Amino acid sequence: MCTDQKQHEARDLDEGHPMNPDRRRALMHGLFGAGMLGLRALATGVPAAILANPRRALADTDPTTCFSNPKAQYLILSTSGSGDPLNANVPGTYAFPTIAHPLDPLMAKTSFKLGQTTVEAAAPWSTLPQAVLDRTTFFHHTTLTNNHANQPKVMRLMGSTRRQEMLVSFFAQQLAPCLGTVQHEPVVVGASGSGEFLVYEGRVLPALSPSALRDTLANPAGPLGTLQKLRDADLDRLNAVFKAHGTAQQRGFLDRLAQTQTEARGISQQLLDNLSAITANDPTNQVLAAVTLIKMNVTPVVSMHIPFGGDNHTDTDLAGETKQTVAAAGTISLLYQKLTELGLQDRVTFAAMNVFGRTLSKKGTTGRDHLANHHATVMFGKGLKGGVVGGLTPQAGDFAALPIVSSTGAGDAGGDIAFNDTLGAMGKTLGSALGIDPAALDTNILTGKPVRSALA
Amino acid sequence: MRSPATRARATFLSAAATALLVGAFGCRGAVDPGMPGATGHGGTTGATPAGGMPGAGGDPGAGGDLGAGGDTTVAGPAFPFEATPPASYVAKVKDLLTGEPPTGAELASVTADPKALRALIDTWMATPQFQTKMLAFFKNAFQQAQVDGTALVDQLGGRGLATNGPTLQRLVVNIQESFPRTAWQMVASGKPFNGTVDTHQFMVTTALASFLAFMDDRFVDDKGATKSRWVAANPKLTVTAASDITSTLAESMDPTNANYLKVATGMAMPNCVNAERSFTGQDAPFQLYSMLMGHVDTDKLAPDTMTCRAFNTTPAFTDADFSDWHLVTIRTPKVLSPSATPAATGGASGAGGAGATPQTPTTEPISKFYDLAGLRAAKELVLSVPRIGFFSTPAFFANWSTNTSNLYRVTMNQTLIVSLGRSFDGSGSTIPVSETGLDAEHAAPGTPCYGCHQTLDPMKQLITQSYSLFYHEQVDTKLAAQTGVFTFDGVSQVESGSDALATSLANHPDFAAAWTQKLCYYADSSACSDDDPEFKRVVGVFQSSHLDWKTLVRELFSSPLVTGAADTKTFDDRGMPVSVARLAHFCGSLELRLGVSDPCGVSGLPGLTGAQNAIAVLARGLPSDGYSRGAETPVLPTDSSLFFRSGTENICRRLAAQMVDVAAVPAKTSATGVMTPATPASKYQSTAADAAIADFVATLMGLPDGDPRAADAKQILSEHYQAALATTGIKAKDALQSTFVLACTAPSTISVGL
Repeated sequence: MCTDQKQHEARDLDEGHPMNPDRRRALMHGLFGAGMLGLRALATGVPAAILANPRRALADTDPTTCFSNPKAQYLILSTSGSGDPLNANVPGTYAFPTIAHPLDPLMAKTSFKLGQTTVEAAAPWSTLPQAVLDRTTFFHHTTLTNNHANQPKVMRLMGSTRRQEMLVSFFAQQLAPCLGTVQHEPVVVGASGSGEFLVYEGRVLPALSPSALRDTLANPAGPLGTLQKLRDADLDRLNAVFKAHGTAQQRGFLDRLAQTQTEARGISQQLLDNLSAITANDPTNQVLAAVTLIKMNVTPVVSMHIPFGGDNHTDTDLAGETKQTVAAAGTISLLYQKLTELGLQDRVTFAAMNVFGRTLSKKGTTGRDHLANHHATVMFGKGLKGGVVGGLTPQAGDFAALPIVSSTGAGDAGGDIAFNDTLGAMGKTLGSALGIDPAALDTNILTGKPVRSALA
Repeated sequence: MRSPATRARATFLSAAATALLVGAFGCRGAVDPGMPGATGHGGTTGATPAGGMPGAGGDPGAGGDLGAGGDTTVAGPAFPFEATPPASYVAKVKDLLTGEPPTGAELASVTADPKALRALIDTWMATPQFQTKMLAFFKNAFQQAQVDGTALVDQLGGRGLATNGPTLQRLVVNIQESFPRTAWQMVASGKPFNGTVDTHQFMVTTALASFLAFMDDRFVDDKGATKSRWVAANPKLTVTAASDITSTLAESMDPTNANYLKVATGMAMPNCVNAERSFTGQDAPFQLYSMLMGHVDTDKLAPDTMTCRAFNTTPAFTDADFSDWHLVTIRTPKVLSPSATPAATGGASGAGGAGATPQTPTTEPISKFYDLAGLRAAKELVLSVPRIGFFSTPAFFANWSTNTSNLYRVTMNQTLIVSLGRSFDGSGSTIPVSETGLDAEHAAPGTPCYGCHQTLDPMKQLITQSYSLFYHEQVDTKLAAQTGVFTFDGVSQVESGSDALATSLANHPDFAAAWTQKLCYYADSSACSDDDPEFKRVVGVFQSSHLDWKTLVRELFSSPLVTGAADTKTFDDRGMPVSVARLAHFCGSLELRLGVSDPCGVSGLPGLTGAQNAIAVLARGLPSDGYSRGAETPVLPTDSSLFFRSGTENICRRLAAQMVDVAAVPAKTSATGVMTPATPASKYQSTAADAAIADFVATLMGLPDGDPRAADAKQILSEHYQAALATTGIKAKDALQSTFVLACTAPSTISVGL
């Protein structure tokens, strides 16, 4: 049983004070109609996995056990199957004059500080709040593919995760019991195509767009809104009719139905305001949806899609890359602002990781092609230090990620993290920053090692 | 009366204690990258075998419930038997089997004589609605769902299909529906249900048959490299899209025609001066298939990146090609005599036919994916990939991809789960007759995982013998020659290939119980107790009927296991759960009861209306039936949540706008000649509010005359309507819409088992 579970249950993320027992119980019911296994597990001390499926649980690890880490973090992941040029303008890429960058002044090379480290990168990165930069790591690595269709495989670290679980699904399994979230599964709020859907334990997870979240929880306007209280009262009367004729289990079900009705009417005004501000499904609105889901303690992991230039084979003067990178920095700043408003800035880690990086020099400033050998994952959170991990080296007419020295994070041809293992190392480093038990990381991510110097 | 508390408690505690003890010595915690994705937390908190646990959130004054977190060690009945009234179980059974509400006459007949339910079930099974329900059940039970274009990429050698969009949507629906329809065809024709495991006959559409043949031509080796059989026989194969010809597809595929392998686009090439663009070598078959699906790729010789780009055309497949379901036998090519050649047998010739395989040039040619006329009439498909039963379909393979580390373990495990409802867990007592194939790296005797691998590894060899890692035919003679051993629950024998595996699974003594249990999950969202005499009786009847599916349905749905009308051990163990109406049930019932086609927009087909799309956004958040890697039990969320409550309410609100006081619109023709068909007036009109309210109760809420709750419900709805009308600013239309929402969100509308 989760050693931190009680303290997490007592924490009301919505209000910042001990959680109302009814609300806590209601949340345990689950976003998508989850069952009562959590309560049953609490009552009996028997892990929910065994209660759910005693025969099968015998041979499995028990992912519902929290590995006693009070540092457990929520994760918001941005991912793109388009293979955006996220890698093209980050710290580390300005050390080579042959790497092409947009010439637009908006993307001018700019010096700024990541914690104690001074770096140079495109101007938009420097516009992030210093509080973000002080805990932002730019991690250079390979994704071992240049094929869009391999987005789901990259999410599985190209075959390096145990049982082919997606990295973020494994994270969610580990984090959910520590955070006491309503559900274990991640929630996808920003998939731009089916390739960006997440899979959890072999199940394809439904995507919940920001507008769907808004529309689901919205209260009606107009005449139906006017009549809502009357309708609620008459629904209570109908419940009473069914209870009067029902069996004990039917009465129990009706009580839970009524309880969720009460919860639906009891969503805090702050969250409703956040939801009502959702106007579309773009990155800005994905931010609102993501922070709302975390504030409601629904899930440990939310996936979204922040474009950094898209599949820009043809991008004259890298204008699209410029426009979207500038917008992306704004989106990340907005995310941090919203997290701060909700008191979540120290509870949530953000990462951006795509299917592959893009060529850095080959086409100059007319566009970029797919590049398997180099990508840069950007991540910030309380568990991270500001800095750069790894680096680049010229290779095959373009560039490739360098092996990494795990003790320092430096990119070095003789590094103890080999080129092919840098993807796994990124996963382990991110997992460490999320507070996941090192043994679980080693068990479930089969390559690489965490870069300790990147961890706070 | 039995003494259920003692037995239930003993069973539960025994299971839990055993689990914990075995867990300490089992595979738990072992580093085992090759294992087939065991259950994890088994569908997570959403998997609720005992949906509706005692008193959790229940009514403390209701009697019989334990308090939340109740102490199971206290003596007393955990689930004291309480008969479910006919009004509840008649509605439940008919809803599950058809989606329709019961009639007053049906309820009266069962109230008078509970045995009448069996005859009613027969009546309900004769309706088309029953087929719809079973197709949805089969899609999940045979694990054929969760497929999209991306999921098919591995089988296509890493390249996603290029289509005009809607054709891909239709194809994906076809791929997922094929096996459910195959199973249904067996049910409808009275064939033994275990034929679903070892059949070589499949329901296909012309479009799906073409896709299967296209995929077959595109052989993928274990390293993911593709090699077209057609191109292997014709290395210079060239396919051309042409805007300056008018030939039919049949002419384009006729080697004697001047336009052979030139496909008419039917339109000018957008932003391109060239009237033709050609594709050669390995790319040619792929591009031809894309053209059939309504897509022409970018000209490889385009002068710049702005001109001669890809564009969509009218597909060669007609709408009917995606709906002309018919049964075909799929078999592998026959080996021809050494002197014979594909050309000599009249098959695809060196002039361009999809003929000889890269490995066996003297085999019969496979079916041609571009021969649409032939495929429309075909009763047989010749394909190199063995297609046997549910576990060899593109949908199943798309769900459960394997790799060099997993080596088919996930495939074998999921196959076992579907066939026999069991997963490899190391608890089996049957000793394999051979351990050939055992992975010594992490399964040496004495290691934690030996118990699982000693049966799993030799058994998955049966799949290895037949399929490559990307689920094409196995061409590695060493792998094909490895010994395979079927070992499960008392059966252990050396076998060879997926055909033998299918036969062993189909004839396994556990088959009948496994599928009875799956149907039990469908009915109750919870397992029946394996050791319940009533459960065993139903299994026995199914077995003795030669596995006739309708016999099982009749027997189980009229059994107290589902009705709750009499005490059973299953009831003692978990009572009679009530569940939220999950997506398929909720939206299916709305469709039938309101007479609106696909009101939730969840068919997956193109061409949804704005109203359907708006509701689809909400519906996708509802709990739905599913399955999970390594889990023996399906994922069946049962409990309400604020999201479910809010989601259903907002769906009902949107439906209210469609269902109340919408005037009829006559057909009209626009100035450009576009016809808009007439639409009838909405089903409910505020000028006939009383009739509408009566229908809300009887049809939407499923409370017919004679249901003891119907009169009260009607009164509450009527009073709501009147009170709404009396509200300032509220019109009759608004009042009836609100009354509709009230009925649509009523407990009996959004649940199963009330």
